Amino acid sequence: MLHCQGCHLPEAAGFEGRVPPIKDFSGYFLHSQEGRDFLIRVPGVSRSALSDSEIAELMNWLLQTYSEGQLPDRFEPFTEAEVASLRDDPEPDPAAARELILNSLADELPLLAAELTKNN
Amino acid sequence: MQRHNIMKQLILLTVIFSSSAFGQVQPEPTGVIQTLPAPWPAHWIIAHDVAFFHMSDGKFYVLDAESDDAATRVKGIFNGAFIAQFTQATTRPEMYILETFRSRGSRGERTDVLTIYGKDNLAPIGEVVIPPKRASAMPTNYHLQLVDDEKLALIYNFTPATSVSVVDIVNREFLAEIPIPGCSLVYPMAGRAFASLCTDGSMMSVQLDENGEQASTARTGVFFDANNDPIMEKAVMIDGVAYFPTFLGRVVPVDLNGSEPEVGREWSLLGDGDEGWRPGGIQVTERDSDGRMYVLMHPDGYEGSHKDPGTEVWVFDVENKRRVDRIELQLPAISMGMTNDDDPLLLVTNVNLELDIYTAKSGEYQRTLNNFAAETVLMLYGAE
Repeated sequence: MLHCQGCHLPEAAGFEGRVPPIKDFSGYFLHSQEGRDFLIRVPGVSRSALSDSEIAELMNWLLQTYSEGQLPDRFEPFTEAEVASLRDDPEPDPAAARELILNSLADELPLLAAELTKNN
Repeated sequence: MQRHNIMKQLILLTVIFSSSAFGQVQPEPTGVIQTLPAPWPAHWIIAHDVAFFHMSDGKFYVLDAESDDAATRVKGIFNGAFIAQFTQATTRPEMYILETFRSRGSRGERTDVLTIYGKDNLAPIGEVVIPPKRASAMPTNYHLQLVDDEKLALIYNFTPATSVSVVDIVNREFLAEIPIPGCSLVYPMAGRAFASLCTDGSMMSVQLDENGEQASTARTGVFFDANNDPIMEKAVMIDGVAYFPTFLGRVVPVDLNGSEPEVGREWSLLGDGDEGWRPGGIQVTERDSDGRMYVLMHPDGYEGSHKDPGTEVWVFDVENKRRVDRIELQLPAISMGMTNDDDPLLLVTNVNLELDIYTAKSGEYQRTLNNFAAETVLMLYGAE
């Protein structure tokens, strides 16, 4: 609540047109390395006041609790070291990066493609 | 006493009106536009009534803070819609406010505007329509800033993704939007540049190119801990250095004169015997023409008292990091302003939401400005 709900809504929901959902969506990002990195480099995560190990724990819990259906078959949990190195390089233009990553993922993930079309 | 005077004035007016009812009345001229002196006298002030309980129609009152006459101290009024943000130029007789309008008043399509007001007759003399994403938040000094010798206006956006809109204020033109992910507000830097405060306890800075687009960015190291002793975003700028008070009474200087922010060594506002005093209020810091820093302070601070009214204003020599004066307020105050002359007035909004005026250098109480129709004056500015 303290670290995410300034923007995301309860139960990992988004705010249409303004804040992306975590629920039933975030797992898609783990289908590419850029997407996986983006989840940590995105400002709300990389700039959070949480420690590296707390972020790793939180992200692993969020993904498995709220977006298990979108995860790749083999889910590799985030580690503290991975978080530490990624958050040191925060994404400078998150909106543009997000669009690029999702569009490229959509080529291989028909469910994500359908989701993106629905929202446009 | 005030009320008694008003009653006397009303009775007098009634007498005048009744005696003039005999046919001598000249019609009052209408459509008269009066011009204010240029520059404004140094002790004129701008009081921002944010109209907290009906935010669509905030007002800015131009007041003579030296006047004891309630009838003539109001020099003019202009509007600022939906919690406007204010700044003024020092090189042009212009004031700038950020406003939000809805096509049906309180609903409908949103339009955000940077409105330019002339100081001669308080007319809106220009506007720049900006992306409708300015942060809708209580006023602070760091939502709207001028940089590059007052050629660019920078506007803080929050959707909640954060960014800064860049406006060419000379040519009245929107130039660019710069993302500041995870960071907030606009602190002016030397040249075409600004800094923002970030949630991880650092600052980022952005250098702009000739088109107002981002040329480069930089980050400082982490210098505050938002969990244990957060800094207040309400810094005061003295000679290009932003002084950030912390909740517990430290102060962190960040020098914004270079191409990147440089975090200086922190020091404490508290001396021996000052335990429990903390900064607090809405606008908690100010500076005078000698570069002294003023901080609104309250005793017996506790977790959550950072918005509590201050009972005293402490005055600091920032070079020598020591307190040089301590002004006991006649009523606790929530916000401070200062005139920009060499014998400045300290302006405060007291807990009754009236304006108390003090001579800054002696700390002497001068007068209270009230009964000018404002309800919630939260920000006070000396005229430039």
